Amino acid sequence: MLLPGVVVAELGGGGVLMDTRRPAAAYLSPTALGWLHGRPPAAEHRAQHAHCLTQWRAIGLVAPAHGAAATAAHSDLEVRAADCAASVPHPVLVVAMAATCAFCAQLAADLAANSRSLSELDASVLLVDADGTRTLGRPLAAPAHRCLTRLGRHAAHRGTPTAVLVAPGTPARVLTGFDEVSHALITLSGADARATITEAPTSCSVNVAAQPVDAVLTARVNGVRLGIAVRGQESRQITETATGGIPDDGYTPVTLTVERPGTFHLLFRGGELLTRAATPTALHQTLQAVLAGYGRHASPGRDEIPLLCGVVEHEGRQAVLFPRTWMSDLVKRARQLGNAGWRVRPEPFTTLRSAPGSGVLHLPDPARPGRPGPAVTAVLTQAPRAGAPPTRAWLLASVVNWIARPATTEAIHTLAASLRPLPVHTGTWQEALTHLTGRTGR
Amino acid sequence: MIVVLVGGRRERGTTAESEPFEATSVSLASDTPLDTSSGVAHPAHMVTYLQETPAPELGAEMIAEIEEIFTDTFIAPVACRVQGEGCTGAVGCCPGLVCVSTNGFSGFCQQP
Repeated sequence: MLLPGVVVAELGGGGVLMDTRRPAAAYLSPTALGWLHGRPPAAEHRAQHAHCLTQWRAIGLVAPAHGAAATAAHSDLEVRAADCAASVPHPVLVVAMAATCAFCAQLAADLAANSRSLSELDASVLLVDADGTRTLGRPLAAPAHRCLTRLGRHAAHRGTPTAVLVAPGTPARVLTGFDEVSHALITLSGADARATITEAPTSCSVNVAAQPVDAVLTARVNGVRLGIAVRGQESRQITETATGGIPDDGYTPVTLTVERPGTFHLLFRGGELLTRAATPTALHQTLQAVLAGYGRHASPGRDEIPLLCGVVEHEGRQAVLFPRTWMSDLVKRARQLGNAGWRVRPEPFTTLRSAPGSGVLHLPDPARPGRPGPAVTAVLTQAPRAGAPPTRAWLLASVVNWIARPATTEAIHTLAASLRPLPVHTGTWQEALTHLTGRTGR
Repeated sequence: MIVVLVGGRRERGTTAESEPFEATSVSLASDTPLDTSSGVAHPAHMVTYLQETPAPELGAEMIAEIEEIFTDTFIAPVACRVQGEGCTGAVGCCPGLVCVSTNGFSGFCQQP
């Protein structure tokens, strides 16, 4: 029943159903966990059992009941693409967009930031939405343009952004989602998509990306390509010096943004503020730490568990995890946290290890590689915004889902087991700030 | 004060009020101190969930209450979700669809 790459981890009082390849997971109550272990549903639970299966299917954790519908929709799009292929003289990526789609807004910002490399494409990119069609790269004759515009409007029914790659003499490829469409653009530009960081946007990312940028620099670390957008000459100089980034190196989605709108040098990862540096030197150091974090993540060590969450560290002795959505607010209060001995780590991944025997999670010690650094003593997080109060197992399931994908089955089980003794504190980021600065040692 | 929850259950009348989460908005202007003058009451105490302890006295009614939510989904999609796909309140359905939830947390994208 479970799709390949989906695992079940127990949390005590429930469990979590995890996709090891993409960020999708489901909390399991003890009864639902029993169903996945083969226990038949009781008569009074049949409706809930059916609802659970529907929900797990909807996010791709269990096999669909009717696979034919999706296949039919897919092949219909390919048939339409084949009709257009006869009239295209070169590869064309038709991208279905929508005005109210945040993923499309980030894609549009990336396209604008990469306009120079796109203008040199030996291909066309057609952006199709309800308002019309925009062509980037090589121009197209009117008949092909009309056919591909119709194709783009049809592709939007699969969700936006969805792209269809149409090329003479080859079968069409359908690509759905920000990641897949970005990868297609990187490949069309001649760069290596598998080696390029492509992070899905959040609504905050769209806010940060809304204003034009002066350039996108492509930095390389440990075989990974990373896009850094810069606003202003000073930001550009610091970024070039700190990262070795160069412009116009193929299409590179924007991962980091550097700007200095006022007193401070700001560094964003998507929509998250990673630092407000008072000096160029401080920005330089943070940029290098962030880049090194991406480099380490490209070839993680054995037994390392990378999480997509923030961490505050107290005087090198203890660490507390918090959700990434609090990052900007806590970074803006870095001075207040610093007065209480806490430091917000800017690294893009919180890499943990579980101590053999005790199972205590800890950060690596930067000064002594291989030795345990600060131990994780608590998790701060937010309760769901609506509905009944969560159970502890629900909260732990949501925290296990912070693990970066792809993840190994072993790392998921280790994380789930190591989280079980930890206290979980729920509240707002303001309450978290008070919790951290009002006392320590919890 | 810390509210201690055993077995994932809040003790009646002692829970801290939690505000709905809002997407972070980034102020680019200055080193803004924590806003304590907004008139919004932040209770300043987080609700603590400690490791569960065995509770043999837990009755069937309480177990049923704890298990009211059989499942809930966490997703970080990369495209807007089409009709019938899973969604949460914070995750966008495609234009023209709404996220209809049956448990207050997650649901499915449907026609309004």
